[in-house]
Amino acid sequence: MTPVLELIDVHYEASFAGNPVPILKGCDYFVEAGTSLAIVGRSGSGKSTLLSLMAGLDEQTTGSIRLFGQSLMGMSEDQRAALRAQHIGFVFQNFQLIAGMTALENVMLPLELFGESDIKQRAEAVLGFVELSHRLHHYPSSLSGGEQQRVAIARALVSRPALIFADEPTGNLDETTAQMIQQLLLSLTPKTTLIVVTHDLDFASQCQQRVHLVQGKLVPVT
Amino acid sequence: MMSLTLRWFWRSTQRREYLWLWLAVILSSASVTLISQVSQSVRATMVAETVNSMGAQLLLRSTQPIDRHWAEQAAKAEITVGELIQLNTMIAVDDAFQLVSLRAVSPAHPDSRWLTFEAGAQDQVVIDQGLAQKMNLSIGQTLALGKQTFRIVGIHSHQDPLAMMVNQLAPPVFIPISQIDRLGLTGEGSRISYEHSFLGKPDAVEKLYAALQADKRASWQLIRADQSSQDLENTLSTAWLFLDIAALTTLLIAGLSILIASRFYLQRWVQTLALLRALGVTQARLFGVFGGQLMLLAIMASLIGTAIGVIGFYALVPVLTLWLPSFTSDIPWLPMLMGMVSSSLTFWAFTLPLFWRMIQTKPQQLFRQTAHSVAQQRLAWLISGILLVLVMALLLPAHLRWWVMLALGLTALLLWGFALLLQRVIFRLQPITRGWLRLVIANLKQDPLSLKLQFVAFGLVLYLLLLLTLVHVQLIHHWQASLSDTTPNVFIINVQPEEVQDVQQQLQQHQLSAEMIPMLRARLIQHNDRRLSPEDFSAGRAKRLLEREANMAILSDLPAHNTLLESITNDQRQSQLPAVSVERGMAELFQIRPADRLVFDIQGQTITFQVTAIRDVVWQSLQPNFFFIAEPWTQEALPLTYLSSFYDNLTPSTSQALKASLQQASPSLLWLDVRALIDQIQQLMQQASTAIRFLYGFALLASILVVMSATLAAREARYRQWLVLRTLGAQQRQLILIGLAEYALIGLLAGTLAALLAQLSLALISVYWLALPIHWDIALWLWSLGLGSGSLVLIAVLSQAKLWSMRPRALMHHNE
Repeated sequence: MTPVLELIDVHYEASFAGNPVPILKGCDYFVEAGTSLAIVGRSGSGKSTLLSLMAGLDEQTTGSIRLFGQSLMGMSEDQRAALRAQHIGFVFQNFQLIAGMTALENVMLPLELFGESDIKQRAEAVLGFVELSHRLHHYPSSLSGGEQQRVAIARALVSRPALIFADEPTGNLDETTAQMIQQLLLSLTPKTTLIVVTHDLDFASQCQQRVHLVQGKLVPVT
Repeated sequence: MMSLTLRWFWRSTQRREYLWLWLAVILSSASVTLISQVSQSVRATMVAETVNSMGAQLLLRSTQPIDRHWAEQAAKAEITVGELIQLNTMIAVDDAFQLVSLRAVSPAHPDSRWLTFEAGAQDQVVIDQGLAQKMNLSIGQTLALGKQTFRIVGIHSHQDPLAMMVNQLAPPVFIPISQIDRLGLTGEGSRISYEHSFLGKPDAVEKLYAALQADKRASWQLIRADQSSQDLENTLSTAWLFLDIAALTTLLIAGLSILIASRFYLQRWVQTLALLRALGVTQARLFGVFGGQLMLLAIMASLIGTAIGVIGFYALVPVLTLWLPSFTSDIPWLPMLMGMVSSSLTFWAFTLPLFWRMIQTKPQQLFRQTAHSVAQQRLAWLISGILLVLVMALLLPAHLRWWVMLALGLTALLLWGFALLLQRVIFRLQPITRGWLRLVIANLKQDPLSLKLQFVAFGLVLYLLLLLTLVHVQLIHHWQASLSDTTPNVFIINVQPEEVQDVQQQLQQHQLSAEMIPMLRARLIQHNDRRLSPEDFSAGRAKRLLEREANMAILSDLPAHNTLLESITNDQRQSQLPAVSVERGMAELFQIRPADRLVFDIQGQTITFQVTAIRDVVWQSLQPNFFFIAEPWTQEALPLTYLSSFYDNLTPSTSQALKASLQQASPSLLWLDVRALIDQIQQLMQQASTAIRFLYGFALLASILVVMSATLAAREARYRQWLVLRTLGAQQRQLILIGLAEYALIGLLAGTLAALLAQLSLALISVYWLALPIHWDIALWLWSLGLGSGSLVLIAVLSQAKLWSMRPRALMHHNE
């Protein structure tokens, strides 16, 4: 199968008070299309940093990251943004919905930004998929945490991405709601590839692949 | 506790945590200090100039001799007393005669400063330069004055165009006061005015003024150097009011910036306060630690602002000196105190309610951010209101304080109403917009209070700047429009009937068209059955009009530039009385109605007229205008003279030659050239308008601070949003477009608000002040919208440029 993502000896150093601090010390991995991958690890181990690098939100210090066969190294910010717009959806831990927009408007936003067609119908359909057809015109402040995260997932799905990154998507939710969100995300595979950073071992165990980030390296969990 | 307060304050200051609060307080104290210092110094300079030109702090003028004891009383108080006796009389040089204003002065009188009499000699006279030119006189020549012959020992010239014009009517001639009795001109029936000038220590002169005021006679006129002219005083009062309002506007707008910034900073304190309360720190201690920090900020920032204001003032001194050559800077203590106190009060007025709320709230409320007690808030708002009133009381003159407060309150309500309306309109528009515009409106919706404050602050300043510019332009345009290209710029008066033909011929030879208008000098003495006396009127204008003779034209038809307002019917006409029409202002002053009877003293003859019409006159048209126009009647024995005006387009030398030739043909003819006067007025208007607009620049800076504070308050949300957009795949140009469009929209809406208000104000000014039809000023709207959006886009570029180039990961760190 074609890998949608390849990590080859990825190193990343952050700068703290002017001193370089190694976070990732040679990560190698590849993710095949249609699978689900959970990245687990202790707090501060660099999971979110790794996710940012994989999504092209930051640039590794050395090594290579290839998304859909294209190397991210050397790409401009706008080229990476275009790649994300075309292939990637992103779900944040704290939802990151636009407060002044309704659920429907939040989901329509990516399509509007890229001038696509049938925007409203597509957004309504995706919101229907996450079972929020009755909340289309509600603002984020009047939605529960679970509902907000479902809106965020709908926003990530609406542009029909091939790959979804989720950064601790159930971190701010209660157990029941978290399970509902987990099932929703897992149901996206195999049509979509899912890469999720999580502390929730139960959620991780339901993913097809699991890796543990330990001392800056990825260790597959069997 | 003090050391903790100081430590935290120092730490926060080092981290530039309260930057926008610092800037707002600094700006407000700097602007108040600078504006107060400018107005105080200009005021002091103008009083000093008046004292200098009057040569005294106080003048007592009287139509009756002044009792000696006033001079003695003044001398006892070490006040220098100058004396002057003035009367109009004729001089003779060979066969030529000329009306002059004879001024007999004592050595201590201010006029003596420029007179050079030789000690001991009795037959000396100093004459005006205009008289010297007119009669071809020079030092050493003689002239006859009353029963005596005098030798010219000096020629005095005046630089002021207005004085030069007035002096043309009756040029001044000076003699020592000791000579006046020898002339035989001061007998009974002579119209003489007496004057005492007083110059001494301000306290002593003030005491003397109080004593004179207490014993004031009907024949007296008291003139103080600081209130030398009612018209000038009114004009200056208006200018001071403009300056005071400029300072107040800056303070209030800076206050809005303080409000937005303190909301942001105090919000950051919430968790700390809640934690400290939960740990058992008392409310009083919290008040001390956090209130102390705010107090330190207010004091230090206002000190810095005050220092900047004083430095700014001294930097401006060279510019002010260009405007007022004798400009002297007054001691800056009072403006400094004003700057410090008013900015500190403004700071607390806008910070207190929020701070109060934070301190009063229970820990769990702070953690959960739940509602606060309404009663507690009311008290805080009440204290804020009192502080604001104190600020206004500090800055505004007492007699206008309540009116200005009322006007400001109403304006604030109006602005708030407009801002609310605009906000609703754009929020309603959101569903029908899409893409970046929808996102922009969504951003604006996040903090409606901040949005309205930005509308109000920026809209108000734009409005004031537009209005100042437009009123200035409108006034000048209106004035210039009322003057055609051939508006008269030269007046000739006092032409004798037998000289009219010759004068007319000479003018025609130069293709100058000029109608010769016959006129009389007439003094109004009775209205219907009521004798009119200056003592019966309190208005200075009425007094002056009754004390002097006015020009009365004799014309069959009203001049074209006069508008008939009211007239009598044929039934009301009393044909045995000559008819007179009266100018509207004069009619209002003496409550004259059509068909009333007016009695005039015309060179000793008493003649009764019937008022047949009331008419309106455009005084600024520079056409010959008259308070009274009588229809021709039998006027055999009346001393008529002729007046004319024309547009002089000749070369200066030809014009000068014509003037000399006319004065030869008509020795009593007076040539009044008003060009220098018009230039002087225009220059003054331009300078005053520029100065006022410059000072409103502070208000503009304050409004920019409001927008910057709002930008700061929304910064966290902006970082978050841009991270989301970048993650969703938005391109940099889309981020820039969204960032700019948000500000451009605020600018456009603030511009709309400003244009709307300016258009409304202009319409009111047009109708009620200039009596012009209302017109839709497209340029006003374009300027307002362009300036509003343009300046805010500039602010957006300055405040966001760094953000646009940030990597998504860096944005993420800001959010962590």
